[in-house]
Amino acid sequence: MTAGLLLVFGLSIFIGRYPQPYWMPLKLLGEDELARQLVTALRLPRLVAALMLGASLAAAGNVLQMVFRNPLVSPGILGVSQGAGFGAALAILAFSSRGLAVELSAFVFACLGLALSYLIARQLRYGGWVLRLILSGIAVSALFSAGIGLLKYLADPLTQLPEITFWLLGGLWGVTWREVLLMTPFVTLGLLVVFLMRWRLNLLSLSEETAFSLGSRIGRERTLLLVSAVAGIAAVTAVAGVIGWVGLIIPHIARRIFGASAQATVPATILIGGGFVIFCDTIARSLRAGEIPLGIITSLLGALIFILLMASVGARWKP
Amino acid sequence: MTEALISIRDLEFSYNGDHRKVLQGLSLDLPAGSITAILGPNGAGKSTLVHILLGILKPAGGQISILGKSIQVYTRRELSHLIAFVPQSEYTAFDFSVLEYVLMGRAPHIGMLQMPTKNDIERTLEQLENLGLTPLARRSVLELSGGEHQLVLIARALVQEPQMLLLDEPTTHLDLSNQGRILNTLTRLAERGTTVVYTTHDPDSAARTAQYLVLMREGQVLSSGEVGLVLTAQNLTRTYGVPVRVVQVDGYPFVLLES
Amino acid sequence: MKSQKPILVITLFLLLLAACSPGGSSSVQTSEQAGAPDLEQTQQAELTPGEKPAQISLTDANGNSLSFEGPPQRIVVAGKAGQLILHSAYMFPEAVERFVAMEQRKQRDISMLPLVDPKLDEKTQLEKDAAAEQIAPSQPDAVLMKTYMAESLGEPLEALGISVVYFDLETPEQFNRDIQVLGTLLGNPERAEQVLSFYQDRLDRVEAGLNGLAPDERPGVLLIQHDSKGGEIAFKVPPEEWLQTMMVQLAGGEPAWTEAAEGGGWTVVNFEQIAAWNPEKIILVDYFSDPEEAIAGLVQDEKWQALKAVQESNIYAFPGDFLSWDQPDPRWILGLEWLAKVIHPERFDSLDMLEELKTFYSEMYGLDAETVEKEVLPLVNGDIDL
Repeated sequence: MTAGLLLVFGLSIFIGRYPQPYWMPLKLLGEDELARQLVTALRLPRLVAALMLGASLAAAGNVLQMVFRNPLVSPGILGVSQGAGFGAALAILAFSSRGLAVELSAFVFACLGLALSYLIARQLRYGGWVLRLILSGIAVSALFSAGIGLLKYLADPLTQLPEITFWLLGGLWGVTWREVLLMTPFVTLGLLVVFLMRWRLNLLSLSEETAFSLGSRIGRERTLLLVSAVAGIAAVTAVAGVIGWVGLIIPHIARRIFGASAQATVPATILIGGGFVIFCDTIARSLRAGEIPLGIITSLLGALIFILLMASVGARWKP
Repeated sequence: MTEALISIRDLEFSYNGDHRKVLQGLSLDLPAGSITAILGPNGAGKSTLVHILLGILKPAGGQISILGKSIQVYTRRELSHLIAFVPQSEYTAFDFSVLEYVLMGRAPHIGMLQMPTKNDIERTLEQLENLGLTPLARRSVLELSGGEHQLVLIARALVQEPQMLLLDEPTTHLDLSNQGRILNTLTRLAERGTTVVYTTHDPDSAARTAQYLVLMREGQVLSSGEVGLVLTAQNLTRTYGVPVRVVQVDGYPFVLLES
Repeated sequence: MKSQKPILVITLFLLLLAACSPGGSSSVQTSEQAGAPDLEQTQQAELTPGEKPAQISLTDANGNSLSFEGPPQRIVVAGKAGQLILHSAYMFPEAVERFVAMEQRKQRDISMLPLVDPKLDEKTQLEKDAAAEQIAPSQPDAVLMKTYMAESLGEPLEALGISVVYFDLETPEQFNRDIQVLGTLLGNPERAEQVLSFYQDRLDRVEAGLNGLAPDERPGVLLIQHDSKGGEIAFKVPPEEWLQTMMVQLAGGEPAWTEAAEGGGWTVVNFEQIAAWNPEKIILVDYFSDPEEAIAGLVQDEKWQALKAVQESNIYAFPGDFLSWDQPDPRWILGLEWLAKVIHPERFDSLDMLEELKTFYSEMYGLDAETVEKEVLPLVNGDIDL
């Protein structure tokens, strides 16, 4: 598993647009100063960012699905990603620069998005829990997406905000080591907590009574897991825009291969998610001379994989 | 009567905003090392009582003591070492294997940031063996029959290594053969020293399985004690509000509705 | 659980607050203003008494044929990029009298209009993105807008019975055609001829300067927009059909970015791609901040120092005054001349951009040297002094 990820990472270092489309020969690194700089200052941070992006979104998706006992939710469906985007845009307008404030604002609004989705779902009267949560999540997502649009078109007289396409489709083209450094504390902390609590996550997916009687302090554990998951999502969304589908399908893939227990799926989603986004981003930056927004590639591939998953009979790998 | 594992005195409870008292002045003892069945019509408050014992609901008044100490001094973790809960049924959205599922019962013994150890897995396999569930270990919990599902839930409760098993209507939706299987399992457990307390609708099987009986009606205990003494036509008529008869067949009491 | 509602209300309230635009609002003046009657009177004075106004027919950029009984006296300019139409219109003296309402959008901090229109304050300032309802009260005889505004703004106005004249003004060819339309519309085709010959002279000059240029003598030129909004730096290239690409070609350069120029708008390219192209000359456009500053930052970057264009000091900031000269605005001719000088300095040695600037403002807008010196020159940025 890890080997696979390292392979994807390693190969992607050599793929890009320089000196010609797609492949850069290894020896060029030894000869060409510019090639070396491209790899160290542009490609490497971008790959690391893609790795963090994929790992955070996928692991968070896994957490959300288990905590809310709903295999169909994801950061994009519950308004978390859009809330983070809104928070980031708001901070950029208020402070006109990028820095810690943007990440923090993204985090606050991401939590708000999640809370709103949950609270509204509780208010709804029709449908089972699964349906209610998805419905309210879609509404909250739309609310924050529209909020980003409003900020951009009405409240941005100095045009400080990047184009809407950036927020709604995402992209890693501006990433340097600086952005990676900004994301690192949130992402590593969030992933660490989720990783350590991965077995506990199983308990939270059972009924509250059962979890209670098994000695779990549900409120505390759930909050800890959700906050960690949302922290990761917020940090990566503030840098890369809203990227969809990764949080939804990677957990499904992981479950198909490794079974439902989060003890196995959490590390799996981290690795598979990271590899998937690296793969997508490599396509986004290398396929054509112009950059393709990352969200388009993840949506395309993600949706395709989703359809295949739903249509086929899954095979389970039993250790 | 053997020593009470749990003593309840004057328990009072009502739901938020509801004036109606679901439980009022409820007192009873749950003896250790034996099987106690709690009988009563729908709405008598059986489930509420179970939830209060588990600490999910907080009573408005009264005391509960476990092993002589008030329930409030125990932490959640400590309680989970004492009482294990078996719900009537449980829905999960994820297809855990039976092994993974039962392993979750080891939670009281595993720290929040820790993983199950080899010991935990061994204990789990042991319990599966005990209940004859080993062939099902790799099966998905979503594919189990009603009886198998119930046994799996019991297995999960057992790996907690509790002093008491608390079951909420374990046989209500099962067919006869599965009912028998469950009740036999409970009997074997009690023989090995585990206290068993379960709520039920069915007086007949309660009569055969339990040593102690509690009759509840409208949030109060009408009668409690040894089965033979409590299971009378008079008590049952008062409990269910309809006339019943108790007949003896092969030395076992059977409850019939008076036509 | 009534306590949930306040949360929703507060959230919506915050969103609405955030959406309130802090600036850009202005009142829509009604036509019952002191100014209107004055205009009417002046109109009468301009026509020779007793002469019936001659009928005007024209075909606009959308292919519509329109006719007016005499030149329309009340003209409104509206819709996106209306500013660029206005800049063309004010090259005609009639504009001051006849243009009664317009949107005041600025790309940089200052608008040119106060310099060329002494009656600007009396005119109606339309809100940003004004709709038909806001325009109709000005009682226009004609509304001018870009062709792509047809569906959103043109059709509603036409439904109200108001004549709409569409303009492109985005390529030299369109400029040629549309200036003539403006001339017909304003009843001053002679002025249109004047303007067009001014442009043609300069086009001829560039072409003459490039005389005998062999295909391999055309240097690879990369024109990129430096976009640093929200701290996200993006480099974008324009589509093949746009004016920027055409100007580079007209100026004797070979656009290096055409393989990336897909889609209808600016396309983001990453630095790797720029490095792979490694063009001979790089031209940097920046609409929202100072392109010279942007370049100063870039040349400090090791990666950029590895580029041929940077090493040979062939990276330039596209100049502009009220707005950058690379856009479909009358100033494109200045942009083209400047590009020719940048791309082929040895062939355009005698071309003095500052003089061209002064001549432009003098002949196109009637501004004297002093005004240009005082009001325009301070705004000029970019690498105009070569």
